[in-house]
Amino acid sequence: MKKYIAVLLAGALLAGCKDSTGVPDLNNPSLDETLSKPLSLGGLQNLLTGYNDAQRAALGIAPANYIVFAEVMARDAYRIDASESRYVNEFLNGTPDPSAFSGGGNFTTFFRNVRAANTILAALPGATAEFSAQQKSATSGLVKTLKAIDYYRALEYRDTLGIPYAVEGELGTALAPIVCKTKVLANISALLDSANTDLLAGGASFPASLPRGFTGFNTPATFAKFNRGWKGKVELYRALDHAAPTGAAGFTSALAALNASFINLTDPATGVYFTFSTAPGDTPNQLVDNNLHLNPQVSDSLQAGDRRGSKIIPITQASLQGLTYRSNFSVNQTQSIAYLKNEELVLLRAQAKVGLGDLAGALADVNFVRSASGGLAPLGPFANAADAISKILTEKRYSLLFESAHRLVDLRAYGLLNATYFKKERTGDIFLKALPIPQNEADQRGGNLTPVCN
Amino acid sequence: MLGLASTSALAQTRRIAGRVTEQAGGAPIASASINVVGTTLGAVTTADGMFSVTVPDGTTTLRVRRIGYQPKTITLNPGMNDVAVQLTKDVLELDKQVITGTVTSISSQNSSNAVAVVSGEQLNRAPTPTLENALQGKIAGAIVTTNSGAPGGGAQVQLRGVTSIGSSSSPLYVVDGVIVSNSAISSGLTTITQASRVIGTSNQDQQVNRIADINPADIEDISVLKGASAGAIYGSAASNGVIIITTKRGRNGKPALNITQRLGQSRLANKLDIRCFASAAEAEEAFPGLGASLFKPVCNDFQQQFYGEKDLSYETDMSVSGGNAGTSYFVSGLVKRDAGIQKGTGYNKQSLRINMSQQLGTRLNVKANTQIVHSLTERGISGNDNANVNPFTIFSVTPSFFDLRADPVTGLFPRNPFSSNGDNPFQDQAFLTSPENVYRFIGGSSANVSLLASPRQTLDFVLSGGIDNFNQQDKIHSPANLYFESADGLPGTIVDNNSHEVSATLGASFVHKFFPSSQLFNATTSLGLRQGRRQFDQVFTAGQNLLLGQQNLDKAANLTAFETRTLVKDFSYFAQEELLLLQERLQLTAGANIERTSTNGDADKFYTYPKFGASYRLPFLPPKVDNIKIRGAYGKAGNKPNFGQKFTSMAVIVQDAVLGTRPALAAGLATIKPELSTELEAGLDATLLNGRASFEFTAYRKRIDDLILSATRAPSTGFTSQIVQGGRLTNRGYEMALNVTPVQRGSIVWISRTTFAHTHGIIDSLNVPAFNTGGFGLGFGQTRIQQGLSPTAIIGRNGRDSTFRNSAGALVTRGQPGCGLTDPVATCGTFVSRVDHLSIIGDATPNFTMGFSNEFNFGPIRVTSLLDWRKGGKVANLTNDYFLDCCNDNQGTLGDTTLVNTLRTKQGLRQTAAFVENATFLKLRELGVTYTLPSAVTSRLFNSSTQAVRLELSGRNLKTWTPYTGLDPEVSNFGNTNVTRYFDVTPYPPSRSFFFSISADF
Repeated sequence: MKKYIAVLLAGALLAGCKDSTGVPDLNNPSLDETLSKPLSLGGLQNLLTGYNDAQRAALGIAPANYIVFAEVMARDAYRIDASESRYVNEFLNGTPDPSAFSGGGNFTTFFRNVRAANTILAALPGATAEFSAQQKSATSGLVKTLKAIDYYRALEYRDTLGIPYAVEGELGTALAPIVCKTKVLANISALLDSANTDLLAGGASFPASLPRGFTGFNTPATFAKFNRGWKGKVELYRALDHAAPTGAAGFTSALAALNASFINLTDPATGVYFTFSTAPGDTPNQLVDNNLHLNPQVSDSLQAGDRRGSKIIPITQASLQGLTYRSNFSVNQTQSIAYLKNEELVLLRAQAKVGLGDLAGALADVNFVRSASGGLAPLGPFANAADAISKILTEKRYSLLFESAHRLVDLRAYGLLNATYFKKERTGDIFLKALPIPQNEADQRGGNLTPVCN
Repeated sequence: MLGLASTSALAQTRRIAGRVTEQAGGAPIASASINVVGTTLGAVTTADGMFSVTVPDGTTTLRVRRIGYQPKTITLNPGMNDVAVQLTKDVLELDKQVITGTVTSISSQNSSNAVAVVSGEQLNRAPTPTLENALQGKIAGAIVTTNSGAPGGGAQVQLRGVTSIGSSSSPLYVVDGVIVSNSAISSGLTTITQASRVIGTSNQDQQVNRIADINPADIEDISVLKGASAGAIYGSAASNGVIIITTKRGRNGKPALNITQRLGQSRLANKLDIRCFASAAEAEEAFPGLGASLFKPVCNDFQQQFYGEKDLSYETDMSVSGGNAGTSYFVSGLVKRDAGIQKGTGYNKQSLRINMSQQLGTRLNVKANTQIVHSLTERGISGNDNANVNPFTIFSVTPSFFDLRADPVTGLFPRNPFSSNGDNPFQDQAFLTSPENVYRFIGGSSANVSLLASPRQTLDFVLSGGIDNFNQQDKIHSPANLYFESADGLPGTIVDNNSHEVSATLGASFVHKFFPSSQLFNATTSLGLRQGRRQFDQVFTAGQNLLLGQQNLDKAANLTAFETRTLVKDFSYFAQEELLLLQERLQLTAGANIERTSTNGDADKFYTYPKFGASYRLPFLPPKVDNIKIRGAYGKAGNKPNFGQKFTSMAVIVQDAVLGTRPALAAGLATIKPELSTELEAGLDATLLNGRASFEFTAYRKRIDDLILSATRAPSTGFTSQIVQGGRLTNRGYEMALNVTPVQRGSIVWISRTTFAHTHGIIDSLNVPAFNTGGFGLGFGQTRIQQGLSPTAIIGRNGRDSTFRNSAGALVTRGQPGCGLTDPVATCGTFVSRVDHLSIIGDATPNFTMGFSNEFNFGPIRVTSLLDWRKGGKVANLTNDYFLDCCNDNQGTLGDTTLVNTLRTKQGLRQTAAFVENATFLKLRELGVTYTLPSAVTSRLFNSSTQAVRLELSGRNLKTWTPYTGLDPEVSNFGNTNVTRYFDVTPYPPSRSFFFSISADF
């Protein structure tokens, strides 16, 4: 018996030493492992789809806060939620909390996206021989364009506070400096140009497929037109920058880029879209939200007969948390959200033309949108630049309702986000121009948030 | 096979026969152990108290012990061959066996640690939802907190303070040598409540931790090893303490049958004061546009209407136990239902336990313990909610003049005009179901082989193994016609969440006991190894846009699925030496566990956890003192990393049916190792007045190094957090226990037990910048992890400075001359900026906890009570905020104007302190009266075989005294967590329960 036990014990001891205790990650692929291997075509497809999805996810999950915050701040919308009062008491009559989803929102997601972009860009030079030089160039142009947009969208919410730029550093190394708005816009503009150069040297096709929302823009040449559209947009807001406006040169540059984009005066809907699906694993449209209502001003100011009024659904008037509403935005689970569409480019061009004093040219663009998109009669000549801008912003409101932060950006750029332009619903109401730098970011920087500008 | 050659060393022997009886009454005492001091020889008494034992010639000392009686030592002169031993009742239960290792134990009078032992009788005085509740207030140094009032458990046991920040917080639970799971598996409720805004699972699912499955009635006793100095032998699982549960076993004698039937009821214990409206004008002011038209001069008590169920709770316990010379058995069955105070909620449990032991020949003893249990938990909706489905969310926005209940004629629930989707919790409660079924098997067996048995030494080989296997099935069904379901455009939700967990333990050890003939010392040496494995697999599927009336996943248009797997493998060697010297006055222990774990960065590296302990019973005692022991112990233990903390993962997504990967927001740590806990404790135990009083004092320092932290990263890096390791946390504290028998006169006995504990933690160092974690933003308080602070310090806003530019162009801060706090803003000039002031506004850890338990016996009547006092500590009351934010006027929907004004004032000053409140409480946890029928009545009513019949009235959580303004200061929205368990977010309200029981022994 003793012998038997001794054998048993020796066996157990041996088993314990021999049986390796290591267990791999059973649930997810590992980042380090992905980075350690040369990038393959299949690997690129995964990373690119992952990045495309990350950009779509950055619109916000239940609800789409990238759009909702801006539309609330720009007084197009209210989000009235019994279990979440901060959409009202922080965005309309308080100050947003940088430590919460509210004040700290719409920041992390864009930098997560930049990390996804940088992961691809870092892997490209060492990619397998499956890739041609042209394909590498095309991929680089594609990813750099998308990355520039992520920086731009992060800046939309932080405005004059600036944002961290050039965040390629490894985790644990010194943080990238916070760069001032003027400089970030210049950097984004340069990044878009560099991307454009890569795209034009990118041959006939990308080595990986893009989501269906990119249909018509899924070759290097056509995607370059998307790139130019963004370049035009960025140049316009550089021209309208408060600290160091590029002025006429900027407006001219914006016009040139817009004209090199897919801008046209035939179909207002041409463009790139975020598409949604209810298929398993895929994402439905996150604007579907019964707590989201339109400010009555939106339906009240709608011109009779405007076809864009179909985006607005009247509902029984109600009043909650001191706010009255009687209409909702029309949306369903699979409705696409424009990423960048012709209608916006035409109106951006009108803004650029106003900046250059070309009111007649701007009028032609505005009237195209009114007619093609709204089914409305053309407007008569603008009285002056201010009149032109006010009317362009009205068209933009209905053409781009719940599509991006465009209205917040415009109202801010033209100095209209105030109680003169809007009526205050309640005495304590504020007009919030930007969200603070998130608490987490501030803490890791020892509270030093002063942007650098050179 | 070994021969018993060594018996020859005691050539001269004689046989002694004896009988052990109770001093008062003379009843025989069965199963008492007789030990010949200084040898391995011994015997156990039979059912009639008889024993016989072989002893060496000459003067011999016998020690007679039996749990429940004071031990007695008897010296037999040469030639004395008959002995009668009378034992006195140990009313304070001072003599206990204290567990010192996986297979060894020691008498409490020699223990070098303050190990708390709670007997089954103390546990079961008032029926409790789950085991942890039964421990509340009974162990010095354990803070046992219930997470909500929902039926079915969910409670956290924290031993000697916060012992981890980023890894597991649960103590290790061991039942009869088998490591059992205390996992808290999220049900997927967030899919409905959107508490974490995901279709999936969340730590805000109001989950139950699975130790709830153990049947308290099966427990013989529970030993609590509070830290590394006692539990080092459990290696990298012992840092949070070890709770060792021993279930009942059969005793020699004829079969003993016990049947206990309980019937009871739970009632809503506390309500918020909700506003009543006096006039249409008042209603209109609060709810413009709706108030005037819908006003009625009534005041609905939503809370009583919703939480006013008084269904019957019941519990039937039955057990049979017995044994003869070779076999002993214990079989028990339990059927119970705890009815919830919300309609449709409750906790059902059925359990069957079979414990067997068999002696085979003289050398082999085999034991097997098994438990099969099924539980069904239905907890309704509570806790954080972003979907307007939590009852309190809706009560907060609905004026009390609106009746939410179903129309008595049509049966239809009114749409609630005060919530965007017409949300009505009464409708939800009627149709939304969330049953959680758990099927569990816990089985362990052990074989003890006596390799050597001589009067001077024994060598045993113990092989033990066990399995804990359970399935948890959550099926949450929210039909499409519920008003709130329309909100996301996907009406109807079904969640099917299946989790399977298996833990297996296998151990082998040798135990050698040595009693040298010199009698200078005796030594117990143990040596062994243990292998553990825990495997978990959760398959979660949610369907949205669900066909009305259907509950199958394929009847939903939108499916979301995920699977989570974990596998943890441990392997360890352990060795321990225990020495008793100087006539058993001095006890010395040294031991070590050497362990490796798969969740470590280097899975093959072994980590060593040593321990040392010593105790000494003073030989010279002051008058009236029976015994004084001084003791000290030191030990190290680990807290292994959680599965996955070493990996940096990619998130996997699908778009247009193409798979995508991207870096996740959380980064791991490839070099992770266990957190290292080092504990030093010292204390003094005294027994006085012939066992009428005892006092224990322990001071300790528990230091945790290599803290595993989920450190915040600047989001601009693309990561929000990273697992980091380093820094040190120290808990210092002291514990006291005082047990006295102020009255012991015949059948009148009063026993009083008091426990007191204080602990204070401090973060000595951190290798990351200070950060905030958990909670809902600074407006409601967050945990501040910062060097020099307690790990449960709460940071919040404490006012703010508004800066203006005055007419002269200078910057002025509000509050300065010319821009007073009460001046109109216009006088200050134009607004420039605002800066919030942040400060530490409290600590979630209480200053001290105290338990006060009393037992009065007057002949057949026994009255027991337990008071649980927790002083200090803070709770963030977000529930109040729901009621303040509802409507257009200042009052909100709270009734207490004074409270509202206080909160509004603090809110106005931008002070988080408005919501972070003092959570001091004193609770009457238990109160019971038991009456034992006179035997004459018993035998007339029942048959003569009935030994005792007891009638009992008991209540639990009958009364709470607290300054806290919420429902219950004992609450945790995030379930069991280390440092963020102080959030009160619209919880399931507390209840008080009453039971009538009848118990009979046959």
